[in-house]
Parts: sequence; structure tokens; C-alpha cells
Amino acid sequence: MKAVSLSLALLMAVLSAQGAPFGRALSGSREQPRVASCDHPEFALLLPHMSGNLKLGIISDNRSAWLNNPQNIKAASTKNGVSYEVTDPLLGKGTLTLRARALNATDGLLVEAEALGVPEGVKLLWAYGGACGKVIDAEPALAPEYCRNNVFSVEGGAFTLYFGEVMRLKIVQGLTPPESEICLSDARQQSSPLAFFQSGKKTDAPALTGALPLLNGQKYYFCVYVQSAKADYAYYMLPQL
Amino acid sequence: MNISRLACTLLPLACHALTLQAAMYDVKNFGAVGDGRAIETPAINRAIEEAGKNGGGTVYVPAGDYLCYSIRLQSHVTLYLEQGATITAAFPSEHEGYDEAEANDASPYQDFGHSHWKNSLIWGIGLEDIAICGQGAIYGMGLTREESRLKGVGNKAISLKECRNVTIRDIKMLHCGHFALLATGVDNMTIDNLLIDTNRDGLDIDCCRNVRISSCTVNSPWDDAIVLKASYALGRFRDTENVTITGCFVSGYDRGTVANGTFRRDEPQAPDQGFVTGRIKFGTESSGGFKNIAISSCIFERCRGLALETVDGGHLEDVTISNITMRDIVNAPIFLRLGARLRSPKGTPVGEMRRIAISNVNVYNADSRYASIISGVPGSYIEDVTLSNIRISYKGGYAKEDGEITPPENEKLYPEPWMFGTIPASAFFIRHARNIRFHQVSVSFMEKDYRPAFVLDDAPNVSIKEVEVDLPDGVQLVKEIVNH
Repeated sequence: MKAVSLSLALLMAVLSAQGAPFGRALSGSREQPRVASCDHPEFALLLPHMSGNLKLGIISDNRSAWLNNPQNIKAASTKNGVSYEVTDPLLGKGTLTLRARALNATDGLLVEAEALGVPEGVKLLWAYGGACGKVIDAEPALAPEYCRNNVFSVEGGAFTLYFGEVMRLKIVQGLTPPESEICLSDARQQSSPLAFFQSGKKTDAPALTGALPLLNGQKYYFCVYVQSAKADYAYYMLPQL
Repeated sequence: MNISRLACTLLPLACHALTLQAAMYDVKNFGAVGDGRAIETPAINRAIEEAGKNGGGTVYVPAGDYLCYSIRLQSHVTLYLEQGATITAAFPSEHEGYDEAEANDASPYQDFGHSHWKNSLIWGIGLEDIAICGQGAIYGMGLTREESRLKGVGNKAISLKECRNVTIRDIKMLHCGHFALLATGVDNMTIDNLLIDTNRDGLDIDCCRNVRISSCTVNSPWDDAIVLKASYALGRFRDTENVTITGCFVSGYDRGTVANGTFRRDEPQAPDQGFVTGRIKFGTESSGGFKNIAISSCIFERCRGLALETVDGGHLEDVTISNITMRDIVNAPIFLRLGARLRSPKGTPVGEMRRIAISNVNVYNADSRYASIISGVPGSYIEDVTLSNIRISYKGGYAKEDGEITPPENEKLYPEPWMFGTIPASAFFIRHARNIRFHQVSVSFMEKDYRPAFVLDDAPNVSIKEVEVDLPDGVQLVKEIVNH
């Protein structure tokens, strides 16, 4: 009964917050979400200190677009989170569906992405960063001013983000598809996903970007979370989470 | 020469040739492919087992890329990596991975990485007469430097426990997880001419006796380069002793950029937020002691400074450090800390630090916030330290008010210069230390620094002779804090 009440409360929170940037609370309360999402697929971890922003884009040859155009995105609350159906000229007649929810065992976010009818050669771009480690009043965007001293340890498709300060270190873990081509990037160059991806690591605002081929019918997962004895994940575990 | 005489002459030669042939075990004869796709561990382990069964020999890894999980060494076996050969650590999968971390009752006393050996790319326990050498490489691609405890995860490139007569020579080691080498309780070890460019610790020499480290390059911006430890991982106290480190280069360039020759400086920060690491250090694990150790002719660049730490009860004594040059040092160029963290079995008393000679040291462009520090804890003194012929060029830039700061004791804290915050001295801060001798010390600042050069606090019998410090007018050379 308690679980049902909790789900209803969460659903109400998600429904009632539509429209506002980061107004969809996937966990925490509407006023103080711990995992927040938007009406487009962009997410923030607020624990309550800003622990990073996950945003997505698509790349086709030398063109690219962030997944943030409301005309191309239908967002809908689901039983335990939110789903997005994305269309875009770069996707041809295809669609990209994303389903996102908070994790149960720890603070964290799980996103599942699946493309259907998308032309060959389209890539999905993801970017994570902006963990300033402080409680912020402003929108929890992947803003360069939040990126200073973010350190990303990349191991295959996984990353560990270190932020905060000496003796008060903060850490979040990330899991992305193993086929991601990952690089350090300059959060001051986000005019397009491609520009961000190709911006290079010589910056005072480091963020992480990754690009992977978007194959129709294949499910891709993205997970960012706080590791604990109960929450220690590898990519192959994500479909069952 | 008749036929029988010819046979008598050639037969021994032929036998000798056969013996030589038989002593080489080419992994390709045991099923290895070297295509970078197949998991080659079973083939390589079969070759090692065969060599071991026959009394020993050389397991030969020809040019190629060998994707592997745990390779298990055996006594009297040399693993030889030919030029062009790379043993690459595979990523663990749902069904395959590295050997499981073995149980260890002593694991509460040191980090997870120090407490287990089998969860490694290459490991040996209780072996003798082993070697890993050749011009080839170990690439720890699928090893982790992080803290996952999942089954199948590996976190060390080479891991040795309670072995003796070990040689590691010439190989390159890249991106090696928590440790490029963890050697615990190893006696008689030679480490020579390694090129290590990694994402956490380089060489960790823990509870080892009689170790020669020479001519190594270790780039490790995200943790220590060459580090002596004396953990309680063996379940007993054991010193690290009789060690020489000579002719080595340690640094904190961007990961991988020393090995590839680009020497990049785009990434200033380390995961611990204390700027790049890459130094030579004693500690942090220091339940046992450090004794009879000589470090000479080493170069530090773009990294933290020399750190001698004993905080878990160990005795750090009889150490010489000479002919060192450092450039672009991001924290205290010299840091001596006797602390009371005491991550050791209950009742372990505070350790000791004494009889240390540091000489012929040149430092250029050292960060000034922490100056250099020699600090024990109340009631436990660092003793009998000589610093002679030292030249340090600090960045400077601190104000007179900074000279009034009283740093916290933080006796139990993890030792790093940052534990004290901004230091009230511009050159050396000496607290809870006695019989310290400075002789022929020259200190300069790129920007004027208005803190006293030497600050002595609970520091009896400190001798400062033939010292030159580039002080602004009115700034004290030596400030002794009284009424502590």
C-alpha cells in the first residue's frame, strides 16, 4: 500500500510539474527533486548539491541537433518516470524513444534509448558534466561555470566523475553504451552536439561527451548514480535494473 | 674424424640445442592467436603451467595483441614480451572476468586494492625466481582504478605477494588500474627500465625487502608514481627495508602523454582535487616501517613534491635522499609527516620518524601555499633530520596575515599538505620536530612572500646555518612560536 501511495505521489509530482525546466521530479519532491528532468530529454542529479547534467543530441554527417526542440518531442509521464518520443529531420521518418526513471537502490538515473526507422549513419551523442558540488538556485544545466575541476575517469563506456574539494570529495558513477566513443570536451563550446564533441580537452570547463552509432531496434542505456555496497553496477546489469 | 667421434661431438650440442628449445614456451604453440579479439588467457596460462611443470623456462609472447584476464605466474618462469607484443587487459563481462579477490582477514587495515592480489591481470603468490621482461607492453585497458567490488573486476596490472627473487625489466605499462605493480612481502626484487604511464599508482612496494628500482619513467598524474608502503595486508607487521630508487623520472603529465611523447599539460586536476600527483612517496599505508632506504638521482616534473609519511605506527628511519631535481611542483616540495591515523590493529602506538638526510635538492616553481613541512604530532617528534645544499624557488605571493595562521593539528587525518591549510611559513614549517639541521639552504620567490621563512613550533634544537632567503624588508627569517 505504501509503495502504491509513493508511486501515485511521484506520478502526481511528475504530472503537476510539466512545462517548467527541470520541473519533472523523477525522485525527491517537486520542490526539491534529486533527479530532475525536463519536457525534453535532459536530466540533472541534485543530491542536493549539483552533481551533473545529462543531455543528448543526434549527429548525422556534419549536421547535429540537441534533443531540446519542443516541436519535435512528445513527453509523457509513465508509471515510474517519463518517456520521450523524438522526431527530427536528422532522424528522417524514424523516431527515437527514451524512457527515464530514477533508481531504487540509490540516488541515480536510468535512461533507455531505442531508435526505429532511423537512417543509417545517425549517431547519438550524450554529454555529462557541470557537477559544481554546490546547491544552486539556477537551472541545473550543463553550464561551463559548473564544470571547473570536474575530473572524469573513463574506463570503456563507464566513467567516474570526481568533483567538490579536497577532503570533501564527491563522486558519481556513469555507465554508457560500450560502443561510445568518449572524449573530454569543452563545455564552453556547446553550440551544437558536434561542436561540443569535437571541442577538445584544452579548457577550464571540462565535460564528457560520447557518440555512438544509433542502430534501429537496439536498446541503449545510460545510468548515472551514487555507488554504494547495494548499488554497484556494470553496463550488462542495466536492462535488469 | 670417424662417425662415432662425430656423433660424440654433435650429440651433446644437439641435446643442448634441444634443451634451449624446450626451455622456450611460445604461447602461440599453446593456442594463443594475438589478434586482439580472442581471450588468450587459457593459452598463456597453459604455457606457464607447462613451463612450471618442467622445472621452469621462458614463456615467450611474440608480437601481437593478447586480450587477457588473470595470468597466473609460476615459480622459475620468465614471461617474456617480445617487441610488438601487448598483453591487453580485457573488460570483464557478465560471464567472464578476473580471478576473484581472495579473502583477507586483515583487509580493514588498508585499502581494498592493497588487500587482494588475485583480482589482477598478472599475479603470483608464494613464488620464487620469476621475471617479466622484454620490450613489449602491458595495457590495462579493462582494469579499473575505481572502487567497484563486482565479481570479475580486476584492478592491478601486476600483483605479487610473498614472492622472492623477482625481476621486472624493460616493459611498458599503460593505463594499469589501481596499481601498475603491487608487490607485497616480496624479497629481492629488481625493477629496471620500465616505462609506466598510468591512471593511478605506478610502483607500490609494500612490506618488501631488498629492492632495486632503477632507470624507470613513471607518469601517474592521478596518484603516486613510486610509493613505498608498509601495510598490514599480510596480517602481520612487516617493514619495507633496504630499498634503492635511483635514476628515475616521475611526473604528472596528462595520462598517456609521456608514453606517446606529447607530454601534454591540459588536465591540471587529479580526482582528489589536489592537482596532479605523480610523486615519490613513503606511505600512506604505514603499519610497518620504512628502514634503510636510499633515493638518489631522480627527477620530478609537473607533480607533487617528495612525501615521507608514517601515520599508522611504523618507524621511518635511516633514509637518504640526494641529488633530486624538481620542476613545476603543485604542493609542498618537501613534506615529512609523522601522524596518528593508526589504521593498524588496536593498541598500535604512534610511530617514529628519524635519521633522515636530504641533500643536493633543487626545486623550481613550487606552489607556495603549503611551503615545505616537517610535522609530527603533540608528544611524538620527528627527529634527526638534516637538509643540506637545498635550493627552492617558490611561486610566493602570500600575505603577512597568512604568517599569523595556526594550522590545525589534524593528528588522525589522511596525510597530505592540504590537511594544514595555508601554512604560516614561506619556506619551511617545522612543528613537533627536534634536532633538525638546515645547512646551505637557498630559497627564492617568484612573487614576494610576506610570511616568515622558517616557522618553528614545538621544535627544539633546530639549526639553521648558511641559509639565504630572498625576504622582503621587515619579514622575519625565523619565527619561533612560544607559549604553545
